[in-house]
Amino acid sequence: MFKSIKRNHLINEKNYLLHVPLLILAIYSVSPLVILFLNSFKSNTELMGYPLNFPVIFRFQNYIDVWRAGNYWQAYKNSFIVGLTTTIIICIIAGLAAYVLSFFKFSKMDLIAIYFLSATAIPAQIYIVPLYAYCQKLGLTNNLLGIIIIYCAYYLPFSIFLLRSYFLSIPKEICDAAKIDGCSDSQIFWKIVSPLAKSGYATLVLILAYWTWNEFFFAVTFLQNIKVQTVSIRYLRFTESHFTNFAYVSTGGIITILPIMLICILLQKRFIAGLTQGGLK
Amino acid sequence: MKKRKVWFFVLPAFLLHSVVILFPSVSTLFMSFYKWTGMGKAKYVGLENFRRLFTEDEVFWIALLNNIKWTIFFLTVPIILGIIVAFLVTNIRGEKVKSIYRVIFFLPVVIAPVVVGRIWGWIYDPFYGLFKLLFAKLGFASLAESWSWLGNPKIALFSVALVDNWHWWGFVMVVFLGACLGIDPVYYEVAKIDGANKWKQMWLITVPMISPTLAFISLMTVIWSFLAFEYVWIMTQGGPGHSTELLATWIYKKAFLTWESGYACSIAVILFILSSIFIIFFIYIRRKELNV
Repeated sequence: MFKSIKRNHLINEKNYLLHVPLLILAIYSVSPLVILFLNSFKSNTELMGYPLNFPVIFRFQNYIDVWRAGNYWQAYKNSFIVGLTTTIIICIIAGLAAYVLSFFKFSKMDLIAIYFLSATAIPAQIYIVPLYAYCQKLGLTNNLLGIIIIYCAYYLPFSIFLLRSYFLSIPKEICDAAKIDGCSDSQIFWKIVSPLAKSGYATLVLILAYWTWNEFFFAVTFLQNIKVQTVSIRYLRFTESHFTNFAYVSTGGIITILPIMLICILLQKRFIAGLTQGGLK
Repeated sequence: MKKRKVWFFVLPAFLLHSVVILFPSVSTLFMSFYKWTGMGKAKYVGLENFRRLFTEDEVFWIALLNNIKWTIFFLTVPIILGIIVAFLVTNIRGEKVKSIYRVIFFLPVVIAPVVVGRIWGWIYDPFYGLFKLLFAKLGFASLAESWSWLGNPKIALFSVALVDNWHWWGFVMVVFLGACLGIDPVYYEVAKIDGANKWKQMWLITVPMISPTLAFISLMTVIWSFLAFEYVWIMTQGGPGHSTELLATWIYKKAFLTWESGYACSIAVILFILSSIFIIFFIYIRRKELNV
């Protein structure tokens, strides 16, 4: 991909006019976020009067107030627990499955592969109703363990195929050589394949962090109790009770998006590549 | 012997997925024949739920039509925008500039839907919102108040779709950009010698060359559009009236607000049947690509 960027240089004459539509769209994309950021430091009256101005004074107090009133400490903790546990479990389970699907070929394996492939397209709306009923019976609603199990299963098919795309680029000869030296299949997986696919795991961790942090559909259904809510659902509930105070709504918004936005900007290449190539293309 | 051992490696993934997702999916099919509140005993009613769905439930048809509108919107606006912008970005000079544009357009993609919904909820607000305040400064305050983005049933769905688009089109653009950068520049060189302008280059080279990506994105768009839920739920919850109701929100309301779970399951079954053609097609395409 990067080779072709360089080669494309040849065809690009100076054409500043192309920047005009791009800049307009850049403003369209970024300005709501900039406004959100600036408004998060204003008082509500200032915001009403001057929604687009620079804040007169940066009221950091907003952040302290919202952090406390929104019970964000708890929400951050929940989101971290959910994201971290989900990621660890998926990396192991999906890694094992992806390993088999990449390095072994026999007839029934195809069926498993097709099963997981179909699963990537099964919409959550189809099974949410019975799933909720079963979880309620088992006491898994309003329960972090419940949402972790659901996320693990829900993101599993995508994760398997993402890891598989990295595993497939590992030469089979390495595994064969290891086998001759007396490695068992599980040793090959833990000691050879997984370390070689490090960047695949890193990409997966990044995407799962982003998905679990932002996830809405399951979280809004399963996490009604304030004690177990993840950040994005906490924000939804917080804004419902403070909907007239747009300054607080903005501050809460920044608190909600900040970690993921920073990660995305810092690691954007890996992030974009993982989302667009590993899984989708 | 070896083969049997390897089975154990897929087992955790398969068990987890089949218990949490396959089993409830099959349950949905069964429960659609029952009158069920989601708790306690269910009563078998045969096809009653489906009869009610097709003959009595007006909202179902409104929701279905809204889903179709939603699909048309997302098959056109973000995709056209995405292709044009991807083409423009490939044509500008400098890798740094390209990657800056890419980050900027990708930024809204990573913002949590809840926050996107609230930012735009404020921008749209007829009394305190940004559009209202801007209109007021220009002297059209009353116009802005009567022009309620989310309160007017005629445009509410479109307003919500615009918000989802703000969050979504950057992703489409970045996918297309990846495809555009893979096109051999020789094609453009030849076209330029033949006197093709930028517009022609886009239509005659870029679009045909990225058509596999285009087909894939379109297919995904259709599947996702049938499932759209978050933005409507966050911004309007299907209102005003049922003007922004979608199949997914209607299922949700039936299941978790009025506790008609059996009925909700029957809507889910219809939703699945409607999207299954596209899902099968998707699996078919992916199978070839992933070489499964």
